[in-house]
Amino acid sequence: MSKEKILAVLLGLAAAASTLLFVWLFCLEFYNYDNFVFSTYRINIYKFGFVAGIFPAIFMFYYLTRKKSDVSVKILAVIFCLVSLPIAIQAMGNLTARTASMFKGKDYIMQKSMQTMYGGDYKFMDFIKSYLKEGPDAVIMLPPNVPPWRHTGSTQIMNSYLYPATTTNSTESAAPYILISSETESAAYHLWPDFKVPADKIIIFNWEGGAPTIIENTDWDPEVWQDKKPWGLIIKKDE
Amino acid sequence: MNNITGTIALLSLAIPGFFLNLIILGEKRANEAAAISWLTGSIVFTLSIYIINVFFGIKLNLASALSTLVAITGISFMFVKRNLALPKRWINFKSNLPLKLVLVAVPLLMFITAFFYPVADWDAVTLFDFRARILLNEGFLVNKIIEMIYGGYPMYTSLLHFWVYVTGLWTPMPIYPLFTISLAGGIFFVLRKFYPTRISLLISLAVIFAPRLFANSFIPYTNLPYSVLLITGVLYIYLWIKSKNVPDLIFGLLLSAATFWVRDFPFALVNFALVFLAIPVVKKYSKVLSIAAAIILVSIYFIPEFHTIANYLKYTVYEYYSPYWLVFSGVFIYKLIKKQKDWFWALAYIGYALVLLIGTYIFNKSMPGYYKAIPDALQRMTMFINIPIILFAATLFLNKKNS
Repeated sequence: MSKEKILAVLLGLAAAASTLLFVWLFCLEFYNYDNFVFSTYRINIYKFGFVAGIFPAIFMFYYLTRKKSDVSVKILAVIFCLVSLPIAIQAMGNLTARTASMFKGKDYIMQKSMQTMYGGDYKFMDFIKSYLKEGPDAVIMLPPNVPPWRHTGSTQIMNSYLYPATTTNSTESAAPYILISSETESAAYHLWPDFKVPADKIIIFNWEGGAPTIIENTDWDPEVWQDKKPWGLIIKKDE
Repeated sequence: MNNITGTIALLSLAIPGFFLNLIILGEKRANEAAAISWLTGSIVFTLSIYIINVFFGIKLNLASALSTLVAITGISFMFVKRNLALPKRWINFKSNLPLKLVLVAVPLLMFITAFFYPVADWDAVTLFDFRARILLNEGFLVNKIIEMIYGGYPMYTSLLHFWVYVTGLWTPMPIYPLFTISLAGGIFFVLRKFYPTRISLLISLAVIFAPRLFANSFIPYTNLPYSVLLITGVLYIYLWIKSKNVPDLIFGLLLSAATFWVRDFPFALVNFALVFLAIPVVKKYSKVLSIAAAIILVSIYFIPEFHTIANYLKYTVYEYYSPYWLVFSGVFIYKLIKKQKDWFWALAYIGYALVLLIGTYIFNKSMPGYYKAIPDALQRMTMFINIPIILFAATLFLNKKNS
């Protein structure tokens, strides 16, 4: 085999290997979680993704030189390899991960997507939803829309999740439900509600996955619950 | 109603779209009409159900939406001339097979995997998809939805979500890869008029793999549909300037105008302005215009009133999308040296940049400083901005008469 052919084969193999390596790394990233590759292998694939295009670019340049192509075609082909190819490789990794996830089933993907978006809070929101009566009459009072209640205080998030129930941040509201939140997102712990509530039922969510604790005919007193960091729902007494 | 009926309903939007495209473009262009049939079908269908709901007070449900689809399909079919010339071969599969396989397999996998994913992105959960769920429940654009529309978010994607939900699909996520497929198909068939098939395929791939575009095929936001309409719109205006075929102009203008049904961004104004390049005097001086526009753009950066915003856009958009702006500069200089005549895409790119700058300036007047808090939204909004660069670079492959 001539030296030129050996060089072409080596360049081709290097291009294929670097492409496959980066497709695999991006696949791992998308299949597991954001930053998985960096936290596991200390490789910043987003910063060094262009490396994936270097060997294909050299190979393309070499190939086009042998075909005596126009200089503008050579330059554009190299640019294509360096600019578009890394994104294409990332896309292939993404698609491979999506295909692999598909075989794990809808429930697996659903749980992973919800976890990515809401953290563990979606389990709590599902629990709340299960105790609200159907229809728009179910109004639920949320904590104020400020830290530490970044999720549980957001009417936008809670409205869309708990629809057709509606939510409010107003403490003046006559809402029949009040959310109990011990969320500590970006700020120190502050139990909500921080005022006494005449309650028909206090339903405390069990983060371990067991049955909730239901306390009947006992009013909500924040001082009693302060140290227990509870999450749950208060069903107010009819006034 | 189940996932199969929902999928059929989603794809069936391509039928009226195909007929409408044939009416505008002509019966001899069936492959082009098919490539972007779903895109135009989705626009016309959502606009129609919006009109029957808002202006005629008809409750939106499966029966009314389905009747509307049947009606627009029937009406558009009536206007299609009967001498429809379907191409003998839609695509010649013998040549460039590996490339074509990539171009078919990638969108297909994107579409199929989307059926397994829920809506799990903030703006979609709290706005675009939420409006669809309210509509599904209420049947009318109740106050809760109207408040959300006037935030600058027309109902287009929400009505598409409504359509897939009402016909039984559990997730609206398969809608979004269809935009990427439409874009790739549209670009391929239009560019095939100027370039060999292999080059057209490569350019289509380069477009699909422009930054952020592919990733947004899995995000239920409005940025991808907006970008697809804007780019297909400007592409047909480009085609008209080259071919002087009036239906191309009409189609380009309609697609550009349709961007306002997706978001209230002003970039389509650039598409409208580019129509003036058809005037011989303007076309003759398009190179001078491009140079002048580039000088104006760079000069604005040094005007104190604009500097903060221009500097922010420089590093948030242009440096973020590096090295695309460098490719643009390189091709710009190369075309100047080679004295080439086609400056359409250079003017489009600079025009979008000017609109971005002025738009952000005006936005800053109404909400001072807020633009700095949303760099990600800015990058998503401008994801189309690199496509004119790819098409500008592609003009280097045009023959001397056209380049």
